[in-house]
Amino acid sequence: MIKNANSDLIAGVFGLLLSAAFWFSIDKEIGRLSVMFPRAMVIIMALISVIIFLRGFIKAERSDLFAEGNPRRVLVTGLLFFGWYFAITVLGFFVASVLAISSLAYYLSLSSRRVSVKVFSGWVLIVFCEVLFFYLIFSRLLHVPLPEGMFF
Amino acid sequence: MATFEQALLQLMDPIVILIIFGGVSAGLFVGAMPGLTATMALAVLLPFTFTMPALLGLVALGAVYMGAIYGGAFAAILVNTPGTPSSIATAFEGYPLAKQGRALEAISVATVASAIGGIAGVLFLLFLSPPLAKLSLRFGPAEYFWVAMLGVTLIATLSEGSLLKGLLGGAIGMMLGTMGVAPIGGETRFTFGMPVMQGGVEMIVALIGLFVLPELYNMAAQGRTSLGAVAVDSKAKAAFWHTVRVVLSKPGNLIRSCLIGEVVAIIPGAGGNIANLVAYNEAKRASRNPERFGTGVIEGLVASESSNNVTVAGSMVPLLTLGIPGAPPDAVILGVMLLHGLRPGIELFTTSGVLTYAFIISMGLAAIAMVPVGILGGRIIYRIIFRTPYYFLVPTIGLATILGTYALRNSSSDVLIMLILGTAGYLLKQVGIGAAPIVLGLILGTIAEVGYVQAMLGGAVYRFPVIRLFENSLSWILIAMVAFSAAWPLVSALLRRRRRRGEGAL
Amino acid sequence: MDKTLRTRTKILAVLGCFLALTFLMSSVEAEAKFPEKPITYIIAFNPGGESDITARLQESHLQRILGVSVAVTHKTGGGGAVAWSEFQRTAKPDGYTIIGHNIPHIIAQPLQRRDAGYRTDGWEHIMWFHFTPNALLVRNESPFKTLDDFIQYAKKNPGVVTVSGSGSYSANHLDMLRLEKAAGIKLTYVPHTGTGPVVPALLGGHQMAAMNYSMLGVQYSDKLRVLAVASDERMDTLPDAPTFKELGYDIVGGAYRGVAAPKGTPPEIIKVLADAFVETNKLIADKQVNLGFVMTYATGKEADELLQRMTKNYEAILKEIEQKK
Repeated sequence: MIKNANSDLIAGVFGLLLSAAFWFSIDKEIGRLSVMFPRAMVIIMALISVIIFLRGFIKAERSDLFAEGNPRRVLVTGLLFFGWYFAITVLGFFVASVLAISSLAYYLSLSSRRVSVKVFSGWVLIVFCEVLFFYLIFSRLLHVPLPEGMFF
Repeated sequence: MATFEQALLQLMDPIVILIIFGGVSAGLFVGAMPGLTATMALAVLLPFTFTMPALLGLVALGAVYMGAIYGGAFAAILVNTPGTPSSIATAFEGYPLAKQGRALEAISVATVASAIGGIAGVLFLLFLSPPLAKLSLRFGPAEYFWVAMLGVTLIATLSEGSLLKGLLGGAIGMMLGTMGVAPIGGETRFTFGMPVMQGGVEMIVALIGLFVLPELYNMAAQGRTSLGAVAVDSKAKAAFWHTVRVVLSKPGNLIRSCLIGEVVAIIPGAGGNIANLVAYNEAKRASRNPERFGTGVIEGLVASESSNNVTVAGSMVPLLTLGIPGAPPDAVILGVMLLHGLRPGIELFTTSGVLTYAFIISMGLAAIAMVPVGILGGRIIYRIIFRTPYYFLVPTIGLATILGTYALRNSSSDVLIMLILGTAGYLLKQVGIGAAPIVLGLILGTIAEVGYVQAMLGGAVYRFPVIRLFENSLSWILIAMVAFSAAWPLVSALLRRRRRRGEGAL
Repeated sequence: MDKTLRTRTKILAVLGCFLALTFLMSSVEAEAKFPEKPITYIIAFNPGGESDITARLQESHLQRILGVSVAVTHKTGGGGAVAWSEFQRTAKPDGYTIIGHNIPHIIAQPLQRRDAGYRTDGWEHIMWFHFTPNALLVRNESPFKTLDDFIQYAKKNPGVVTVSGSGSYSANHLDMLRLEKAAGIKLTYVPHTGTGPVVPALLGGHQMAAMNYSMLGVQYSDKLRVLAVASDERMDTLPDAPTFKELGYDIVGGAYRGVAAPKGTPPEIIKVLADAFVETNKLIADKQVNLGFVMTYATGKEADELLQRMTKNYEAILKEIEQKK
């Protein structure tokens, strides 16, 4: 938890960085019609960011960041989600999802209960059925070709 | 009137009733799953309707559409993530209610409000189509721009914290919307070297990411869901007739929200996504205690859910009279109609009158069918969510989200975008930039840009093309609304301060 | 000890033969009959649009003729570019993945964008199945009764006449530019995000005319007037609409829709698919003609030539635009 952080400064800096990123990726040769609006928006966004940034010095809004719960679990959950995505591209939707959901469920449950191997294998079975259910609905009924990886 | 009676007769068929109930249930399920949207459901249903006779196909589509717009409320209330973009405002009041253990009550209110809204939309369509269609045609590029500006003023209502940060969020949303192919000019912007970014950021992808993921991260952080245990008298409060009485007890709110829903619905391109936000904003403004909004105020919930269901039939006004789809699901319905040889226009109401009226009335029936399906389904869904431990809920919702995002455009890069936006959204929330302004910016950005650039082009006649934005009378009406809406927060704050000072002086 | 070793070797030998046999059989099978698995037919535009409706109409006939299921999937984005670039990058040339493509999109986008992600010639064309000619439309209440009225007014008021169309540097836009050149007038093109928004803009009087597809003239025959059509001959469904050609302006253009397979797909497979599409086209012809489409049957060499011809047509215009910038 980060106590009493100056959220105005942070938000302002972020806004300015984003404006810069967009501004410098405007294609030099882009036509007038296509660039009218984005250029105006980037300038507006930068202006708002500057105002917020300045307010950070005058009468800042201070708040506690990551105040609720345990931020480390957020980080690991995030990593697991992104890992899930990459696993899908490599292992295919089905396998990746079974692995990811089981891992997420296990990790998140650590804080509230002990999970024996027997219980966990029961969970994996449930997860398997769950993913199978969705897999069948999407690929067979709805004809949505789900990403295939090494296996299927 | 003979056509009317014949139409009713056609609907007495048990198969039709079955399709209505089936369609509403399927639509409900789709709407409730964050990631699946009404348009998607209709697109999937489309091939099946080819083999069905025209009436059954249309009835099915209408029922699914109605059910899906209603279904979005469930995810909004129970998990703080709008199941469809038309339920964004539902979460503002629905979720706090759920946290207080009044989830069942919220679901009942959403059900009744949605049913009433759906029926209202059908009535508008049946009796007011011609004048509404004419009104819809008066929206040209300038008017679109001002409607978008009106939307921008909503950001004030939607920013949870400071107005400035809300505006920043809105600006970020608009920038995200510019990525990809320019709607006017056709050149690709901000692809950062990746051809796949030509597709830009799809609004639903951003919606799912920005609303769902932070909620999942919160659950992970806290180690529990936020659903409060059922409050003592909540079950009684959730009873049907009681809910009807509660909803009807504020008729002004209900009528106003339905009107807003209809007007927004006939603006092609705006649709249900914006209707619920505008209605919510107006409900808040009209209330005597606007500060209470956000803590679980029933009128806010009613406003959001009734207005969005009005748009189902409401947006079909331009569709049936002029062949102009008011919202993306209408495009699918138009396709089906054309396929069966039904051409929008006068013909539809005369030669194919029986079919058309039957279709319209069937949507009203679907709205009514939502009540039993919703109350029953709602209880089941609630119990499932309530009983599921958070460590299963998080990954399962994650699964639904990933599937839904992927299924949108068959794109795994969309999934990555969703994850990135979602994680960024969680971090931004920490510094006070909420998700709703960003999504609103994304929705409004394209509308504003297209309106502005087209107006500029059309204004080539004048020395200063900007004049085009001020040409029409409808533009001026909208400009007045924008000014009023923008000034209101300041004016009401001033009024409140004066009132308090007056009371204090006593 | 010896016995076990011998048994193990025997088992391995049998397995080996079995594997070899399966390999042989599968390779033989691959030559034997196409198609055997379901075919994926990708549409690069939204459900409910013209490309989608056409595909749906074709789907059931194709399934019957080819004997396997044909799954229509959508992959929208970038005006088609997202689907086309991914197709050229990842689709296997075995005939089981095909994609709908459009002229002039596949010509204009790679020429005009820094990196559209695909090449105009990066596929094997199966067939171009229909053509929607461009048409200059006005609403009934418009003062322009004929093409000549329109051109005379535009000559006297350069830049005042607003012409709406779908997309930028699309079929609509490019033929509007050709009209400008051929008639020596200056118009203002107002792009819209699709055919859909063009209609209310026109009906509501927000734009003075539209260069869009003949289909609109057919579908809205009671509300819109067609000043001219960009086809070789008058369309049966629009008997009162003159062609640009007969009025003295050599403008023939519009959108062609077709279907393609990845580069490198064997010609025999292309032939099977082309035959299926040709037959399907004939079967859905009346439905499509009623909606305002013109059927075409360009397969094989004809298909390649069509693309090359259109590319030449559009390259000239696009180069001019580049220079003007």
